[in-house]
Amino acid sequence: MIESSMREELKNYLLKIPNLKLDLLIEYWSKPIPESFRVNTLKLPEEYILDRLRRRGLIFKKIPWARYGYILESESELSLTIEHMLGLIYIQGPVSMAPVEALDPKPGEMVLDMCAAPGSKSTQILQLLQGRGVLVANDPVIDRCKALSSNLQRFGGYNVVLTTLDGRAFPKLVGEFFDKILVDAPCSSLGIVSKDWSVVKNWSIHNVIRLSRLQTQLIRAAFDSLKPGGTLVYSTCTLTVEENENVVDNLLRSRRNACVEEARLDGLRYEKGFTEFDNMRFNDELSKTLRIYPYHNSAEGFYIAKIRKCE
Amino acid sequence: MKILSDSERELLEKILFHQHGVKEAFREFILVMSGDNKVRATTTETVEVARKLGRVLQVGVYVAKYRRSKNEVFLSIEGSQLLNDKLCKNVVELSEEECLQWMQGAPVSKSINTGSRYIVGKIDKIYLGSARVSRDNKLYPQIAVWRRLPEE
Repeated sequence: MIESSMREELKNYLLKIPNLKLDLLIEYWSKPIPESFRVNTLKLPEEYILDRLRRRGLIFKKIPWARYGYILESESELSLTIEHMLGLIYIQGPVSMAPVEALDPKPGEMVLDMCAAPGSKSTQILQLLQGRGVLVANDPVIDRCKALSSNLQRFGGYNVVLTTLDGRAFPKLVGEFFDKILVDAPCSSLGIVSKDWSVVKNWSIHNVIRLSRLQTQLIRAAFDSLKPGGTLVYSTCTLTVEENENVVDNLLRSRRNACVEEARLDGLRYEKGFTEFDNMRFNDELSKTLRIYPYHNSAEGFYIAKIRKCE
Repeated sequence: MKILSDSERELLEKILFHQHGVKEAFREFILVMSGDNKVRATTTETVEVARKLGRVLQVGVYVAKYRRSKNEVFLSIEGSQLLNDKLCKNVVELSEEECLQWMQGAPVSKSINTGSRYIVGKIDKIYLGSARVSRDNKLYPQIAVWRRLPEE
C-alpha cells in the first residue's frame, strides 16, 4: 500500500543509500510507532506516577537510552488519561527521546532548543535542568507555538522563555551565550512516515536541497551561539544524506573548532554516519554520528550528531 | 513583561493566605503579569535572559488568575502543584470518579463545609487547581478548555 504511493524518485534515492534495507524500511513504515511516554519528575516522584499507571492496568517497560522513558506494552489511549492531562506523563516517541539524552543538559546550564515546537524535547530538557538554569524554547512559526506553549504549561517548568525568533538571528542577539543547544531541524521526515504517509507522496529532491540549505544556516547559527566548550546536538527525523551528514560536514568545513563526539545511548541500535555518498566525500569524523532507521528499534528513524565547540 | 510590584505581590499573598492559608506564596519566584489577569512564575535568571532576546511570547509557567477588582485568585493546576502542601485551608480531597469529573470541567457535587467560595481540589498527592463553590455546594473547576478530558 505504502509502496504504491511512493514516488519513483524517492525509491531510486533510497536504493542508493548504502546498507539500507528498503523492504524492511517499507514494512516498518506501515506499522504504527509504539506508544511511549516520559514520567514527569518535576511534578512527582517517578515511582509514584508509575504506580498510578499500574493501578490503571497499564503495562510498560523501560526505554534503556532515555531516563524516565517507558514503552507501553498494553492497549491504552494515553492521551485520554488524567495523568497526561495533569502533566504527570508526557507522550513522546521512544527514539525522539534520544537527541536530548545525547545533549545531556545539566542543572544550572543555559540551553537553547532552536526549533522547539511542539515541545517534546523542550519539556525533556526542562526535566533534566531540574528547575535550575534557563531553557530558551524557540520556534519561528507562531501557529506551532500554540502547541509548544500548551505542552510547556502542562509540564510545569518555570525556568523557560518561549521566543518566536528566526534561529539564524541568535548569534547577533546573544553572541556565545549557551552551554548546550539542540537543533532538531525541520526536515523531510522520512523517519516518521508511519505517522503521516503523505510524506512519501510529496517527497522531492528539490525540497531536500532547499531544507539542506536552511539546516546548514541553522547549525552554523547554533554553533556560533555556543560558549567555548559548549555542546550542540543536531538531529533530524529523516534519512537523506543531504539533510544529515552533508549539513554537519558543511559545519566542520566552515568552523575549524567544531569537533564531532560520539553520543553514547544505552541499548539504542543504529548505524554509523556516512563518510561518503554518491559523489560526496565527508570528514571521517562523521562516522561518529548516528543513523537510526525505523527497523533498528521498531520505532522512528532519526539522525543524531553531537558536536563540541573546542576551546 | 510586567513584573508584579511589591505592593501587588503583597496583595496577592494576602488573598492566598486568606483563601488557602499559604504563607509567602511563590516567594521563591519572580511573578510576571501577562494578559487576561494571568500571573506567571519564573526565576530572576530567566527574566534576565528574556530581556536579552526579542520576540518573547511568554516567560515561566502560568500559576494563577488574579482579579484585583474582586479580590480573588484562582490557582492553575501548576500553580497549586507548585504551592503543594503549603495549601492548608479550603483543600478538598476528591475520589477518582470526582477527579475524572473535575478534569472534564464538569461541576462536582460534594458536601463540603468550608464556607469559602474558592477551594483547591486534590487527589492523594496531586493538586488539581482551583474551583469556585456555588451556593448549592457544587464545585466548578476552573480548568482551561484545552486541558479538559473529553466526556465518555
